[in-house]
Parts: sequence; structure tokens; C-alpha cells
Amino acid sequence: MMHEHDFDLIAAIAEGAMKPHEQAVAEASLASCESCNTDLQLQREALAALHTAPAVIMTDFERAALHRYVAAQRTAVDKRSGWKPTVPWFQRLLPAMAAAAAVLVVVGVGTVFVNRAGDADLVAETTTAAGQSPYPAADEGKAEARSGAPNDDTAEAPTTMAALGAPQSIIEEYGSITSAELANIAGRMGSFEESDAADDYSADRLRSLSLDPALICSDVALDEGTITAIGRATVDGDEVEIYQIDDLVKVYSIAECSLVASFE
Amino acid sequence: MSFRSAEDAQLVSSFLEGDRRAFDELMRAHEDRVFAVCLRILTDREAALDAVQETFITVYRKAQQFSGASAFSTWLYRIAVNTCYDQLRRSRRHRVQPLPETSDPADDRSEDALGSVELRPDLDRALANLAPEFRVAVVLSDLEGLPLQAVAEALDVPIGTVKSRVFRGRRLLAEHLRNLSGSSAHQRGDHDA
Repeated sequence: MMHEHDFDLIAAIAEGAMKPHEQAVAEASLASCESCNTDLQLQREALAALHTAPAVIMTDFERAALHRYVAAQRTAVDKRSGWKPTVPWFQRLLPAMAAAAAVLVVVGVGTVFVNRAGDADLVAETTTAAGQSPYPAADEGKAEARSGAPNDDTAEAPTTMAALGAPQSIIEEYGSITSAELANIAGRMGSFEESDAADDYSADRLRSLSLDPALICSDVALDEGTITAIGRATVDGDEVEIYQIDDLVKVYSIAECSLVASFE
Repeated sequence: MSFRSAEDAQLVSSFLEGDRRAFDELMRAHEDRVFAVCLRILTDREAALDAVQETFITVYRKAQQFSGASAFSTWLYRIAVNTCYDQLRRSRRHRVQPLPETSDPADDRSEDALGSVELRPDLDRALANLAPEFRVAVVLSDLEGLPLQAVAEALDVPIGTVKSRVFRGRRLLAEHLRNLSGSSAHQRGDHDA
């Protein structure tokens, strides 16, 4: 009858886990035990056979099936259990906090920039009112009015872009966006109230500024109504200009000079 | 803690914090070994693939229960082995049948590459004829090379039980191999005569 320590010893000998001199002593200690020697031989035969076992390799087909199945089941598990990964609240807020900080920095820098630019414009308009105005017709009266009340004029900056919480400029740049984001932007633009900004986006003024060839291209938009906001973006790879004209927000393709979308 | 263990622990932590890609990485790191274990226990590729799928879904569902007391791989093996046991219980076709008195000789040429266990056919047969508890112990210890302590944790049994199962499993395996070899030689003798 074999005791527990016996199979420990036999296994150790069979595995070759002992130092050579210890191995010799251990094997000698089993010399008088016939069943121990039989077991040692069987252990060695089994290990020798197991060591010849080839590696198991998953085929590409099996691997793809595994990933496909697990992906599908993960979705099902999430839906069924409503399980959500545990994320500490402060980690969940990190992206939002970073975005908020970035917006604050941009708004701050933009405000400083616009204020400085506004002051420069005011000086320019005041000094050119006597005949050097870059806005010869439509802005003549406005320049005269501004020349009399410079501080009030600064306070009358267009409110349309301010409503976006973004830096104020003639054309709002939205960068590369999706069509869904375009609809969202159009919705926000459509909520702008008409204001004195209409003066700043007057067709005559925009034409006179010659801001961008694209604006000239979409000249058709300029006479359609009162423009209260203009944006520019790349929607799914296509460059467009976005106009709030009266109660509509219209989107024009820059490449084709044509209306591609309209939002009420 | 080994590099792999530390990396696994980090991936589990990331996954629990909401990084789904961490789960993908865990899966990629372990899927081959889990498949090998399941195939050697179940001796059928399709059944093994089913078991691997169930194993990783269980990991996905129960990752929060991983305490980190043992290595992730040990916890994973425990789930895989339990899933295989469930499969063996559920499906009659995976139940181990006793060897016939005189079995057919092993013939490499008759084995479909994808249908076989990819072991030597005689070893495949001998392993398949071990009782599941011995087979699992031998597979984890001798084929996958897990330390006995890890096998004990994976099987949730004392280490002495693992030693006993591995020892007896090897002994039975060698006896089956001898029987197979003897019957092959016997049949060859018949053909020669």
C-alpha cells in the first residue's frame, strides 16, 4: 500500500525535479519496493508521452467565430443586465472637466482677442470716417454714429455668436463635423434672436469685405433675407457655409455653390 | 507576481473601470491556452470552442467577482474547467466511453486534422479514457505546465488532492497507452500471419 509521501517522492523522481545525487539516493530507497518501481516506470512513460503532445492551435475560422460570438453576447449581456462598469465619479467627470476647462480657455483668449480687435476697428472707423472708409455705402452712417459714442458701440457687439458661447467673429468656424452635428448647430443658430447683428452681416458689408471666395460663391444667399449668423464647416468631408437667414438656417456647398440643406 | 500576472491585473482593473478594450486584450492574451485546455478536456473542437465562448462570457459577466487573491489566469482556468465539466454533464456525446477489450489500432492517417484533438492519436484516446477529474489534473499540470498550487486553486481542491490526481492520472494514462500499444501489436501480428 502506497503512502502519500511515496507518490510525492516517485513523482519527483519521474519529473527529474531532484539534484542528481538526491535522485540516486531516492531511487535506491525504492529498490526494495516492487510496486514503487512499477509506479515510477508508469509515471515516466506517461510524462514521456505527454511531452510529445503537439501544441493545440486555434484555426483562424475558430478564432473569428469565438470573437464574433463573444462580441454578440457581450452586447446581449449588457442589455439584459444593465451592467455598467464601475467607474469612480471623479473619473467619469474628468473628460467633461477637461472639456469645460478647454472651453473656458478658448472663450477667455477669444474675448481678449475680440475686444482688442474691436478697439482697433473703432479707431480705424473713426479715423477713416472722413472719406477712407472701407464700407463706402452701407456703413457710412454707422461709422458716423460710432464715431460719436465709442464706448457704447463696444457694448453693442453682435449677440448671435455670443449665444454660442464662442468667440465672436464674422464667420463661425465649426471644423469637421457630422451631419447630425450640423443639424444640432443649425438648431442653435435658428434660436438666435434678430438683433443689430443684421448690420454686421448685411449683404453689402459682406460683399465689401470679400472675406473669402466661398462667400462670393454663395452670393446667392446674401440677398435672400436678413442674415444674422454665418458658419463654416466640413460636413462628412464636404465644405459648407451655414447661414441663418430670417427664420431659416441654410447650408450651402462651397464646392458647388448650391443649397444642400435647409433647417427651419 | 509575474509580468503576465501584473499585466492581467491591470487589464482587469481597467476593464472594471469601463475600458472595454482591456477585456479584448485579456481575451487575446489567454484564448489560445483556454482553448487548448478545453480541447484536451472535451476532446472535440466544436465543444471546446463552445466552452471557450462560454468561459469568456462568464469572465465578462463576473469580472467584478475576481478578487485578485490568485492570478487572473488561475481564476480563468477555474471558470474554463467548470464550463467543461458542465459540458461533459450536459452532452452524452462527450461522455467518456470505456475502452473496448481490443480497440482498433491508432492510425494517424484516419484522423481529420480539425476533428482530432491534435495530440498523438493514442495519447488522445488514452487521455479521453481517464475520468474527468484525473484528466483535468493531468492536462493542467503536465500539458499546460501550471504549478500544482495554481492547479489546486483552479480546481478549488487541496494541493494534496491535486498531487494524488496527477499521480493516479499519469499511472492510468500509461496503462491505457500500454493497452493500446499491446492491442496494436496484437493486431499487427494477426495481419502479418
